[in-house]
Amino acid sequence: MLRQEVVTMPLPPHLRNKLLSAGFTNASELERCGGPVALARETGMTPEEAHEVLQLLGERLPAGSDWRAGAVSAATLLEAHLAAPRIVTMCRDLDELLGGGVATGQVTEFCGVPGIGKTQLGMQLAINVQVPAALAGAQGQAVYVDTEGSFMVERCADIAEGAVRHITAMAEKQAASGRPALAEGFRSGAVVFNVASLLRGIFYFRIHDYTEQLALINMLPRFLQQYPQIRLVVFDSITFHFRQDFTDMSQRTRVATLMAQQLIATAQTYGVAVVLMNQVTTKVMEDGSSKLVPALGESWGHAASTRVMLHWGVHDNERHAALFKSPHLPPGNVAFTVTADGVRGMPRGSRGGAGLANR
Amino acid sequence: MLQPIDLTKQIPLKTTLGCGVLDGFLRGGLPCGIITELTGEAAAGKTQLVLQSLLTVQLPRSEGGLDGKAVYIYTEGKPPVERLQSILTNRFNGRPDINLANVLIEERPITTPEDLLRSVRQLEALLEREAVVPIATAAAAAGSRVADAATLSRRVVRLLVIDSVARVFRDAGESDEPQVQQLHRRAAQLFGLTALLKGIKGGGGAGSRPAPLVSSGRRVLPALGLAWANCVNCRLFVARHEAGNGGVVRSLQVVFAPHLPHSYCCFKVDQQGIQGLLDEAAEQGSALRRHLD
Repeated sequence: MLRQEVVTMPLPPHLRNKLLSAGFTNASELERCGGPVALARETGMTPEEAHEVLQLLGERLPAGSDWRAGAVSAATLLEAHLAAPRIVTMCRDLDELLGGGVATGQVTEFCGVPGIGKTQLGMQLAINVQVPAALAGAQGQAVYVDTEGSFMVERCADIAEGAVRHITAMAEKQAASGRPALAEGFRSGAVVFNVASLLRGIFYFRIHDYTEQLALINMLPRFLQQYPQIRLVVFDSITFHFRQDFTDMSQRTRVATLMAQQLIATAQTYGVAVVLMNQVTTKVMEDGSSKLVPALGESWGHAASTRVMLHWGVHDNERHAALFKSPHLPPGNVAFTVTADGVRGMPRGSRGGAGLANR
Repeated sequence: MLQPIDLTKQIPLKTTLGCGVLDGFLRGGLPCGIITELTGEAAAGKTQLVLQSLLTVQLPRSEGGLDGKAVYIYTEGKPPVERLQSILTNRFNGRPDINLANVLIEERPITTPEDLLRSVRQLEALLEREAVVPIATAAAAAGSRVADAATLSRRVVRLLVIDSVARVFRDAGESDEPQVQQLHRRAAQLFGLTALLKGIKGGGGAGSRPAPLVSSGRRVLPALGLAWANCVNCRLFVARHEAGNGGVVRSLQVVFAPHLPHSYCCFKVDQQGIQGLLDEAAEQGSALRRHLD
């Protein structure tokens, strides 16, 4: 942790005093001094002592040694949260529902009945994560984990084409209002945003059973280190293989919980958005009635910090997204469409009363 | 370590249905690698559609086929081989490359889910053995520069049809099990079947009971429920409608599919099999439009 102060480091007092006397106050200054020999020279330590001090910078502190060394202030966290890139859906209402788009560093779950648009949304996000930073995009790449075989490359190419048209138009608008950098970047070839580059920006994995799924989740941290431009990992769906490979439900819950913990840790550590598509199942209530609930049971509910249910409208034939769990956003319900170009908002003038207030 | 697949090199493989109109409607035909479900009432035309596909999959790539064999698992008694023969004769007469020898029909009766699962598992083993052969043949052919080596390679199964899935699962379950447990067990079996099917390369089709749409003027409901709906990638609804002039018009509708919008296409059934109809030719009165639009 580069902000760690020398006074909080678990060092023997004589070493700490030598550092403080030499004017070092925090870890980043130690990093910059240029190695153990230079540090030893500046502080009067022996090279071995200097080496030991620098080793400490790279080590995780054992639990309970000094809690201040492992903590950051809420102010820092808020800064990081506001600065973290979001991935737009290209439906303005849906983006607003999510607080600006799908958040990186977190796990977001979308569940819904077959045909409601989970795969469409997954593909749209995998394309949209690549939007250039000049248009407030995440300018990253995506991992798409296909467990059901619903990913069809020709449909993804349609969505990519739609995005290229949309983004090109936005770049032209920017140019018209005095910011021609992006449009010129496209023209000169410095910024590439076409169907082929968009498809290449998606690392696509086809998973055939739950052991492959778990193996992939285990491998994900290494993969993300190898390709640090990745900002999004989509699992479509996270549920499918878990619904038939297990006869022992408590074992299934244990494996699912472990999977959830790994996904949360991966999202936080690498600052990627982990998006889970989930199926829904019919739950028979005590009075005999039934309702649709996300699959995998109640214990799975803790996996995602943000959960959205996609459903057909009660009063209309439109697709809706209902936010029912979020760490900091109020619940809400918006309508969206799926066009030949991908996920979009409702056409103007037809946003019904089911949208957010004041829209 | 698992490796990602390069999307820019993926060529979507589809098998033609033998009709330009239907192929256009489906953006090429029945896709490989996913499960396509044909759902509809009895006598709507599902079996006619799949019988035709058992033959069209044998067409060469240049004609939209997959140069392949087909496997037909029929669960409603005696398979309609005479009808298959009649479509073959009327539509593909004289073509040596399209024949019944390329259609493998499951002989044993399939009445329970276990039967179906067993049959599909054995098919999986067969496909794995076959998958090795064409590669070896092609490599040898390249070495010896035999011009028509492709025709020497054995055909591989490229289409699996199960007609129908619902018949097998509908009656499953002992009567002394509580209702909810029966449902769970059936759902588990359905997912098990799907996992097997999706592991098999090549298109799959299954007929089942009606979807929540209109056929013969009535609303119809799905059998097999949500668990099965979660298993298929593409659901097409086959319906028959009374036409204004007293005839019958059939429609094929997309209920959901990753690559197709909600849309429909009309078709007719005759001695030559299935033929798609363009909108103008489907002028059969406003009753049909009301159902479909």
